[in-house]
Amino acid sequence: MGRYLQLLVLFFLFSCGKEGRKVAEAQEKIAFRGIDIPHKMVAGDSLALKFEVDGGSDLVLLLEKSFGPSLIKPTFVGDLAVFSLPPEMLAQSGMYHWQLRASSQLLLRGHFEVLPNIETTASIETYFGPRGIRAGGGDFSMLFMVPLDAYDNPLPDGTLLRVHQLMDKGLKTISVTTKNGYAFQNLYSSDKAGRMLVNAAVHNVRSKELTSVVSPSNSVDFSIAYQRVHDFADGNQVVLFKTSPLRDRYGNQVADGTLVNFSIVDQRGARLKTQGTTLAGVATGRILHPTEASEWKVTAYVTGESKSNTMDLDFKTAVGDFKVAFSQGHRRAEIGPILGFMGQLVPDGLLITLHIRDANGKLIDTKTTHTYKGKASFDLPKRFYPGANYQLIFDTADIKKEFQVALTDNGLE
Amino acid sequence: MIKETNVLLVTALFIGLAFHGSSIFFTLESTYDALIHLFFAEHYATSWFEPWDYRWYTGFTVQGYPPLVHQLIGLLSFVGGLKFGLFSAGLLAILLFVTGAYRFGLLMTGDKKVAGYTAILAVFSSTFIETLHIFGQLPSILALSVLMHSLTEIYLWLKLGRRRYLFTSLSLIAVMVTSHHVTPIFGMVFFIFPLIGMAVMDVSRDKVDSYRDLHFKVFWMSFRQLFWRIVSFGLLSLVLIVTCILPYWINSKKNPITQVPIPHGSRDNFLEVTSSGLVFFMIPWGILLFVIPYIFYRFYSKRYLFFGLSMTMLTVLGTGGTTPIPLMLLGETAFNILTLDRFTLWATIMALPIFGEFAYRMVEGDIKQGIQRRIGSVYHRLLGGFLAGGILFMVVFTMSLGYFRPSQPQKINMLPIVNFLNQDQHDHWRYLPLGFGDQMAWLSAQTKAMTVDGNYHSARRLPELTTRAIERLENSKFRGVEGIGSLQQFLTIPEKYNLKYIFSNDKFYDPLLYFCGWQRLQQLENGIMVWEKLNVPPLPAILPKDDVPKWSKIMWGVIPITTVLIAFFINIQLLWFRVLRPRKMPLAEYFRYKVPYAKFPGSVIVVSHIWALVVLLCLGFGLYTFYLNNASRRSPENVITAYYNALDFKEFETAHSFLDKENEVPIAQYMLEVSVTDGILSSYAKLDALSIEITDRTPTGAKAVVQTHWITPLERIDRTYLHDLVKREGDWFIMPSYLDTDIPPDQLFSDTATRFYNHGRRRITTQQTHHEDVLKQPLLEVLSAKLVRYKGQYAVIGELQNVDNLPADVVIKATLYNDDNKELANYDAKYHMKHKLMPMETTSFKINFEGIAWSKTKDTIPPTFDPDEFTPIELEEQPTRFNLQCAGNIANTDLYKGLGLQSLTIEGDHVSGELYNSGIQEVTIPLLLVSYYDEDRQLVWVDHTFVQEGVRVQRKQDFEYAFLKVSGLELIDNSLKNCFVNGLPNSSIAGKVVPNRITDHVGEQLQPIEGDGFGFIKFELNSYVGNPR
Repeated sequence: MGRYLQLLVLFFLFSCGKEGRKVAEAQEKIAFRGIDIPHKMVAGDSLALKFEVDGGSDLVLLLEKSFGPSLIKPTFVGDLAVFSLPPEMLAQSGMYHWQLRASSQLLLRGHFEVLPNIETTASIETYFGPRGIRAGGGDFSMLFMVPLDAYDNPLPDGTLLRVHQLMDKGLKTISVTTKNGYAFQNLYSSDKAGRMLVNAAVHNVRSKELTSVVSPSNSVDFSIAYQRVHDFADGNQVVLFKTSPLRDRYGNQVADGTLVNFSIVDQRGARLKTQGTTLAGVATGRILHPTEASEWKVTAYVTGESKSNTMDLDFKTAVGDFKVAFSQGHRRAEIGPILGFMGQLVPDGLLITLHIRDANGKLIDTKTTHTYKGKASFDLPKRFYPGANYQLIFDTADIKKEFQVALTDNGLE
Repeated sequence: MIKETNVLLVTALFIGLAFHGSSIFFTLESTYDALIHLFFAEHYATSWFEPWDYRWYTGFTVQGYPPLVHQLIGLLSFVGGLKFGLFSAGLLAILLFVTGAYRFGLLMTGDKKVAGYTAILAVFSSTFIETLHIFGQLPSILALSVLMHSLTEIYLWLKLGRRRYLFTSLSLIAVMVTSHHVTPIFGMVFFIFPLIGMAVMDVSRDKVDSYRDLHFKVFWMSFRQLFWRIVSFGLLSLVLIVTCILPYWINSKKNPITQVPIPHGSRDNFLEVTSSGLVFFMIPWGILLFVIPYIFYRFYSKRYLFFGLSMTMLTVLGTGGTTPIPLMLLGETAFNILTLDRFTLWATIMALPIFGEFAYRMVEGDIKQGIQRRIGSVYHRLLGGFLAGGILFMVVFTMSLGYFRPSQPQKINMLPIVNFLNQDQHDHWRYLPLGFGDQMAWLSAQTKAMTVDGNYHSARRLPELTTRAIERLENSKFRGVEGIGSLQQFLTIPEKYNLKYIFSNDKFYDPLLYFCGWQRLQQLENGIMVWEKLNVPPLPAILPKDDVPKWSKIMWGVIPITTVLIAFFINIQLLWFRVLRPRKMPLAEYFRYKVPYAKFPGSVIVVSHIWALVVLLCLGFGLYTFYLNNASRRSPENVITAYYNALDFKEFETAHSFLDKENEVPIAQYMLEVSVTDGILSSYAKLDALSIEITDRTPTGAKAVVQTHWITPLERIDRTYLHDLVKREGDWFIMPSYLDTDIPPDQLFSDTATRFYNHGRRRITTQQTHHEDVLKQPLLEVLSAKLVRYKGQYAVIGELQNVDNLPADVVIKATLYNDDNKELANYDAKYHMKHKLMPMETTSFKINFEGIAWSKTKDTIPPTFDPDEFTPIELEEQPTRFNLQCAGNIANTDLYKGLGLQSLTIEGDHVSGELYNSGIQEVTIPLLLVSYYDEDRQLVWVDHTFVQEGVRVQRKQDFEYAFLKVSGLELIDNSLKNCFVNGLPNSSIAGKVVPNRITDHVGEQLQPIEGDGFGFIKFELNSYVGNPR
C-alpha cells in the first residue's frame, strides 16, 4: 500500500512540474506588435488581424461577441501571424472584443465595432396592435418597426422610415426615425368605423400590409317601437320590439351582436324581460302576449351606455265570460266553450285553474288543465272527494267563477 | 416402459387453446383490466428503463405494479404490435393455466387420469372464464398458473430434499413474484403452507402403516425432520419476493397508497346486492356449488387437512360483506384495499383437483358404481347429464355475460382522436376522455398526449383524486354526486392541470361542461365530441417527476425477464434433456400417495343430495322473490316504482303499459309527447332514489306522493310528483296526467342573428401561431366586486360587462388574501355566471372557494353522499381582501340569447314565472341566475337555479324560485382596486372604453321586492343548447 502511495505522489509532482515550466518559458520569449488593427467595419465584410510575433508558437485570438466567445488560430506568413475572420463571423453588428493570447498569457487586447450594412437593407420587422380599436380618435394601434439589413442587424439610429396609413379612404404618410434600433408610431382611430391599413417603408424596402379594425364607439340613446297582430291578451301571439338603428356619437352603427335588454314593467310592477342582439344596428326582442289585460311600460337598455324612450303598451282581455256545466252529480265540471275576442274558440293551451275548498273554506286541492278546442273539464272522483259540500273556484285569464256544489256518492267512480 | 401420452391432458390443451384462444379476440379488449396492462406494456416498449410515465395522473411511476407481464407484452409488441403481444400473452396464460392445473391435480391425487380430468375441468371452469374473459386479469392468471407449477417442485424439495428441486421451485417463485405481487404473498399462506403440511403428512405416513396410526406426535417428528428444508425454502423465497421487485416495495413505502377505499362489488353483501353476488360468488363457484360437500369431505381427510383449512378460509373470505367474518379476519384496512373476489378465485382453483377426482369417480369410478347400485343406472346418467349440462350452462352464461350486459361502452375507433391530438400541437395540453370506460387506457397507449385521469388508481398522486372514492373521472357518473363533484373540480379550474381538451363519449356530461365554461369544438368522425376550454396555458416544457436511482431502474428492467430465462432454462431445458434421452425414470414421489377409489361412502352421496336440494331451493326462492318484486302491478308502490324505472331507462313502451287503460293516451301519442320533452331531468338525469307515500287509499284508488331524487351532471335534484292511481281487475294503474296543450302561433317563422367565425390560424404552418393570427382579447369591465361571507362561506361576488364590440368567453379567478397579503385560496367561477357574453352584455358572478373534499377528515367520509357536494375550503386565516383576474377570449359558439322572462308573479318569499324561448334553438337546460341587491341597489349575493325542463322554440316553461334570506350576510371587502382584466388594471379599461358610464342602468332594470336582507332582485338567463343547429 505504502509503495502505491509513494508512486502516486511522485506522479503528481512530476505532472505539476511539467505544466509550470512551460508557462514560465512562454512568458519570457514572446515579442509582438499589431499591424493595421481596424476599429470600425460594416457587417458582411471580412477582416484579418495581423501581428508581428516573435517566439510564440501557440498563439490564439479570443474573440468575444454577443453570441459568445470564439478561439481563432493564426496562419503564419513569415513572422506575421494572421487571424482571418470570415464574413459569417462578423455578420452581427455590435462591439467585438478581442484578446491575443499565448496559452494563458494575455498579450494584447482591443476591440472593434461592426456597423449594420445600410446598403443591404432587406426587411422591416413590424408588429401592429391591438388589432381592433374604437372609433373617436381616443384609441390607437401602435405600429412597431425594426428595419433590418441583410444580416438581420437593426439599422442605425436615425434611419428614416415612412409609415403609410389608409383610413377613411384617405392615405396618409408619416415619417419616423429609429431610436435604439427601432421606431414606433401610434396610429389613432378616426371618427368613422372601418378598417385601418398600414405599412412601413425604409429606403426601397417595404413591409407587408397590416390592419387594425376600427369598431364603433359607445352607443347613444335610441328609440323603440313594437309590432303586434292585435292588442288582446291571448297569451299566444308574439309581440315584437324593435329598436331604431343604434349608433355611436359619430353616427356609426354599433357593432353587430351588441346586446339590448328590453325591460318591461307590467301593471303589477313585475319586471319582465327579453333581449335581442343588433344586426345592422337594429335589435329585436320578442315576447308572448300576456294572458290577462295588462299595461306594459317598455324600455330598452344597452347597459351603461344608452337607453331608449319608455313605450306604453296595453292589452285588452282576450277571453269573455265562460260557462261551467256540471254533470254526473257534480262530479264532472265541463268548462266552455271559452270564446275569444272575436267569438272564436280560444287557442289551445289556455291555462285553467280549479281551487277546491271544503265547506269551511279550507283549500283541499288545486288542479290545473289547459283548454283543448276551447273546452276543458275537471273530474272529481269520489275516490278522493267523498260526498259533501265543496266550494269550487275556476280561474282563467284572471276571470274567476265560484260555485258551491254538493257532490253525491253516485256518479264518477 | 413406454411413456404414454396423457390423452386427457392433450384434449384439455387442445380444447383450451381452441376455445379460449379464439374467443379472447372477442372478449379480452372489452374486459376491465386488459387494456390497462396494454398501456403499461406500451410504456415498457417505448421506454424500457424509465419507470416514470407522464401520461396519467399528471405523472406516475410504473413501479407500482410488477412488470413481467407488461414487459413480455412490450417485447412481443416489437414482433407484431401491442395487440399481438396482448393476445400472445393471453395464449401463454391459457397454456400455463391448463398445464398448471394438470400438474396440481397430479400432485394432489397422484393419479394421471384424475389429473387429466382436472385439466379438462379447468378449461371449462367458470372462475377461469370470468377472470380471463370478463376481468382480463392476465398477470393474476399467469402468476396463479406459475404457482400451480411450482407446487410440485416445492413438494419434491420438501419431501426429497434434492437441491435441484429447490432451484426449480425458487425459479418459479421468482417468475410469479415479478408478474403479480399479491399472488405470491397470499399464495404462500393459502397454497404453500397447506402444501408444506401435506408434505409433512406424507413423510409421517411413510413412518406408520396407515393414516389411522398417524398421530400428532409422528407429525411433529416429521415436521422437525423437514424443518430446515421448510425454513430454507421459506427464507429463500422471502428473499426472492423482496429482491425481485425491490423497487416496487421501495415505491410502496415511499408513496403509500393514500387513496380512500373505492367501493368494490366483492365487498358487498351478496344477498343485498344480488348483481355482486352473481358476479363474485355464483359465477366463480358455478357448478362447484353442488359438489361442495364432496370437496369438503375430501379436503378434511387427513392428508389434505391443511388444504381443507385453507379452503375454508378462502371460501369464507370470498363471501365479502355477506358475513362479518372477512372484515373481522382481515381488519378494516386490508378489507377495504383488497378485492375479495380473488379469494373465491383461489378457492375454486384449489377445489379443481378434488372436482377432477369427483368427475373421475362419477364417470368411471366408485361413485358411479355406488349410485348405480343404490338408485340405478338411468339416474346416474341423468345426474351426469345434469352436471355436464350445468357446466355447459355456466360456460355459456359466463361467456355471454359480456355480450348481454356489456361492461364497456361500444368499441371506439381511436384513430380520429389520436390524429386530433397529434395535429396542431393539441398534445401541448392535457386531455380528458369522458365515457370511454377502460378503453381510455387504449387511447393513452396510442398517444404521447397526457391526461389528468388514469386507470390504475393505486398510482394516483393528486389529492383531488386520492380523496375521492372514484375509479376514474371518466366514468364519474357511476359514483353519483361524489364522482360528479370530483369531475367538477377539474372542469372548473382546468388551468391548474393544463387541461384543455375533453373527448366526450357520453352526452350526460355535456351540460356540466357547458356550465363550467367549456365549448364544443368539433365532432370527430367517430362521433366523439371534442370540447375545449379557452384561456388554458400549455404544459410547461419541463414537467416534474419523482426520479429513482439508476440501480433501481436497471433492476426493474432486467430482473423480471431474467427470472423467466432462468426459469425456462432450469425447468424446460432440463425437461427436454430428460425427454430426448429417455431413461427409465422412477415414478415421482407423489404417485405413492394415490388413494384407491373404491367403496365410496354412501353417507356422502346422501349428504350431497340433500345439499344439492338445498342449493336448488335457494335458487328457486331467489327467483321467486325476484319475480315478486318485479310483478309491477301488484300494488300501488310497485306500479309507481316500475313506471319510474321504465322512464329512467327510457323504456317508454313499458312505461305506457302502466297507465290506466280507460283514460288511455294512445301509445303513439304518448311517445310523441314524451319525446318532445327535453331538459335536465328527461335527458341528463339518473334516478337515484324514490320514496313513495300513498295517501287517500281506497279499495279502488289511491293518491301517491312520489319523492324522486335524481343525479344529474350539475347537481342533485329532488322532485315531488303527484299521481292518481286506480285499481282495475286486481291490477293497479297510474292515471295519465294532463299534458300542456299549448301550441305556438306560427308554424314557420324567421329569425336573424349575428354569427361569428374564427379562422384560428389563417396561415398553415408548423410554427407557432403568427402574431397576426393571435386574436385580440375582448375588453371586459368589472362593475362591482366584493368579498362576502354568507353562512360561514366566503365568496367573491360582483358584476362584469363585456365592453368590447366582440363576443367574449369569460374566465374569472379570485384569490383571497389576509391582511399580510398572504395568499389563502383561489378558485374560478363555475355556474354562477354567464361564461359567454355578447358585446355590452353584463353578468353577475359568484366564486365559491371549494376545498378538496374530505382531505382533512379522511376517516369521517360520509357513508352516504351528501346531496350538496360542495366542500367549503378550510382557510387557515381570515381573508380580508381579494384579487380578481378576468380574462376574455373571443367566443363564437354558445351565444344563444333567445330566452325571455314573462308572467312574473311574486308571492311572499317565492317567485313564479315563465321562460319564453323566442329564438330558433331549443334550450335544453335554462339556468336562472338570481342576484340580490340591497335597498341602495348594491349587489349583496348571487344565487342560481336550474330550470328542470327545457324550453322548446316559441314555447314557454314555468319555473319557481324561493328567495334566500340574506340578512346575515357579512361584507368583508368591497373594492375594484385589485381587479384585473386580461392582465391590465380594471380601472385603466373602465376609464377608457366606457368613460361616461351611466351607472343607473343596472339599478333601473332591477325588480323591487321586499325581502329578508334585500330590496331588489335581478334575473339573468343562461341557456344550454344541447343540439345546436
